[in-house]
Amino acid sequence: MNIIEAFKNGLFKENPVFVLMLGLCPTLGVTSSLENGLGIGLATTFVLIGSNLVISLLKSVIPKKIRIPIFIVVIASFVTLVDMLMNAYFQVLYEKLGIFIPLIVVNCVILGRAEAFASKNGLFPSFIDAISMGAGFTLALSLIGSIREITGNGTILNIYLFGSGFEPALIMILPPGAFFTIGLLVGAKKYFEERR
Amino acid sequence: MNIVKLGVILMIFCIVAAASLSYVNQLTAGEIQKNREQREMIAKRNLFIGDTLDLTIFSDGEYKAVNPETGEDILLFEFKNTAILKPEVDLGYFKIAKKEVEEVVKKINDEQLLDTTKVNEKLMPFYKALMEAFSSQIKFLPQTVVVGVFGTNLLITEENLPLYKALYKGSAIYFVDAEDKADTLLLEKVDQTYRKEIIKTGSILFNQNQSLEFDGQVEFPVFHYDKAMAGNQFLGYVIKAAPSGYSSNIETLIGLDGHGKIIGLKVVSQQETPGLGAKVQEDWFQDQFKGKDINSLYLRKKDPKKGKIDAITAATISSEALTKGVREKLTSFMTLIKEGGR
Amino acid sequence: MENKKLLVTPAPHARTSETVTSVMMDVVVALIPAILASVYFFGIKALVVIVTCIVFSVASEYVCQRLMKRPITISDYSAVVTGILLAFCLPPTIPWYLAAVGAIFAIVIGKMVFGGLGYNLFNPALVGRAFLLASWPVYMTSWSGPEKFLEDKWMSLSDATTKASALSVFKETLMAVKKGAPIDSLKEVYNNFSLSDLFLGNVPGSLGETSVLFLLLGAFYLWFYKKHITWHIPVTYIGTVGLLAWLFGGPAFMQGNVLFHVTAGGLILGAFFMATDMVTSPITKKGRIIFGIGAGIIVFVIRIFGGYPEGVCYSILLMNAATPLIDRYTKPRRFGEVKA
Repeated sequence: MNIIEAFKNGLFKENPVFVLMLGLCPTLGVTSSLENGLGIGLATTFVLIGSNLVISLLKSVIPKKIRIPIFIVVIASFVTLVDMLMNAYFQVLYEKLGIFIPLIVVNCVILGRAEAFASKNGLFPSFIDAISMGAGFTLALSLIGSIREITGNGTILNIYLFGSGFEPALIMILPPGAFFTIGLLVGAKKYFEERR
Repeated sequence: MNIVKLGVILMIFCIVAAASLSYVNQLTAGEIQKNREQREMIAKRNLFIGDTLDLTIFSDGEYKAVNPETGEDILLFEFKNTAILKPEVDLGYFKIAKKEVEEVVKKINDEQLLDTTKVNEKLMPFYKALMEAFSSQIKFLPQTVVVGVFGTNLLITEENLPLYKALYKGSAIYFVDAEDKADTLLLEKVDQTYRKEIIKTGSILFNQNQSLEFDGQVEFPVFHYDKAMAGNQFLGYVIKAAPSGYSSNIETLIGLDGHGKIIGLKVVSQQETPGLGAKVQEDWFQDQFKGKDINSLYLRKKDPKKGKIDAITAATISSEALTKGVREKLTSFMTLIKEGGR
Repeated sequence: MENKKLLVTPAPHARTSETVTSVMMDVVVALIPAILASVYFFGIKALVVIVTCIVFSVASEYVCQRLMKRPITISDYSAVVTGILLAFCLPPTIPWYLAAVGAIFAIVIGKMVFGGLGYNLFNPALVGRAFLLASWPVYMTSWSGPEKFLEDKWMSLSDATTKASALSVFKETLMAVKKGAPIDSLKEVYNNFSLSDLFLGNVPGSLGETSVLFLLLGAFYLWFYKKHITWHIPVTYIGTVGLLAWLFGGPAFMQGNVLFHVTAGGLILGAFFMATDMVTSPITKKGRIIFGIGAGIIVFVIRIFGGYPEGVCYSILLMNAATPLIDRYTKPRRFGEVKA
């Protein structure tokens, strides 16, 4: 398994947000700033690694017919576990990421990777897949988050970029702004791919 | 039969997940609870100290003495959620406080002061000494420098009233461990006889079980020592307000001085529209409330004569909700304080 | 010879002399009285906003079509109409650069992204306005009053006293009533705005929507003389708002002020010039009636219960979204088609 190839796959060719269109719910919901985008991206990556490893380990035990409920049980308990452990022992991190963690349960990127990859591959490839997919997800969310934060709030990572005369377009950090940004980014990606 | 087998497998997975989760839950529940309390405590403290001075929270510390008669441990002092300024800002408090307490405990043990019949008269000087030591060193004395009052002897009497008054002025005394009876007696006594005087000096006596209830929420006095004054100075109160805004309840902590002027205001949690109403949580908006009282807590936009609060542009509903909510809460709280009680 | 061959072409076969250009030209002509009225009432700044909107609409259409390698169709006046209509629903005090951003957004996102004229789902001018309202609500909700003709403030580009529009006064009073103010204060609002001022447009408000008289002049030109619009949408739309306002808009049942609700705000502008947009409104007569009634209900609901003082913009956008559905259910049966 070529690691570089796997990363290219996760970041660009099969980017969870821009190509697979998975996990759009958290993408639309929380990307109102770069900090939030990065936060949920990293938290998702963390859970993705965990669930991919567990499911890849248990793949021979899980009967085909009820694999989806079992995946959900595994993912949900993993998320809850991470939530509790982080809340108890990593306070600083939890204060930053805490609100996103329960949202990860509903993120179909994780279920998607469990079904499409981890349940068919070994431990190491699943691990690499989780990292590359997580990186792709984080990249996409950070990109959307920074575009929306700059245009909608005039800041990046809460640092003001423009003078006081700049009036940011509020709509960009409201839900419609997420649709505009994702739509335009997907459009731009398609445009450049076709030109190539 | 196949379906039964599948069901059993699914059940097994669920049970394993549930078991591991409940195990982890048991492990972490206490820690999580502690963290939550600490966060709230920090938020309250920050109202008075400001966010610029970071606070460090020290974990609980219990100071015990041995009762020479029975040989049992008796709780003397308990430090609970004690906040101090960061070392680089103020080095003094915790070390000295700890030292003083340790000295007192040692003295009590050495001189076998826990003679229950004489505990009151013998212990009081130590409390007084302790408080004085605190007073000279502490810049900010938070809610619970706690005195464990064991037994029933520490009642307010005509003789020790001056001492009590001195003590109450200096800090919030938190009677944790006294027996129920004693507590009630104490509070009743204060209620009936000395309540007004104590309130005049700005202190409200309360304890864990019988704290000053206000709209179902616990308020507590916060004290501050000012060297320029002859004694210790009362700093103010923290009250909570949760007015309903545009799309959520805006949970807010308000720090007040004794005259009802806002010292600090912090929106703790809200779910308003991001970019609009959510700006109630921004510093510039919250800082507007500092130094205001009920007479100027109006939106400048709605009430140009009285109003001193600038609304968040295009989020008038949230701004108005918070301003009005704080104003109403303040009005009723100040009425309560002026009337001298519940 | 080529032309002697039998030509077989798909429908349509019947053609009119109407072209996009001629229709749009007529709409521009119909809007001229209201343009003049808005400049008369609001001053030079109104003219600046209108010109900015037109210039940026046309320019962004040109740039888009160049980039998309499509035929350049800026000479069909459709972008001009969009620009004027957008300017008409902006307050006079809006900075020119925001008007420009609105115009660009209206053309690029509201029209060109969908494929250009004829493919857009929503009325582009209203898309631009909705974008501006959500992005810079402060500018979009501070109106300035009518200025005296040729006096200092009329000539000035920036100087203006902000005033509340008739509907925002109504909304604030309504909110106060809900919180316990005397219900008769609603009547006072009705009395404070004279109907003749509302009808002429001598009140604070958005550029083109205040002057009912001059809008109606243009509308009747399009309706009776040019026959570009039919009665269905405007009559049902205004009728629904009027009826609901009479029934529920006053201090008690059946005591609402119909004329106030019809003449204040952008109802006339929306009903005649925006809701009737050929691309985004239903094709059939039945569909248009449904469209008008639906939009009327939405306007009234927003004005009485919503967060905004005025609901014309959103009512038309929402009904635009419902248009394909309405078309589908009101499609006449083809000849010989059996009802399934």
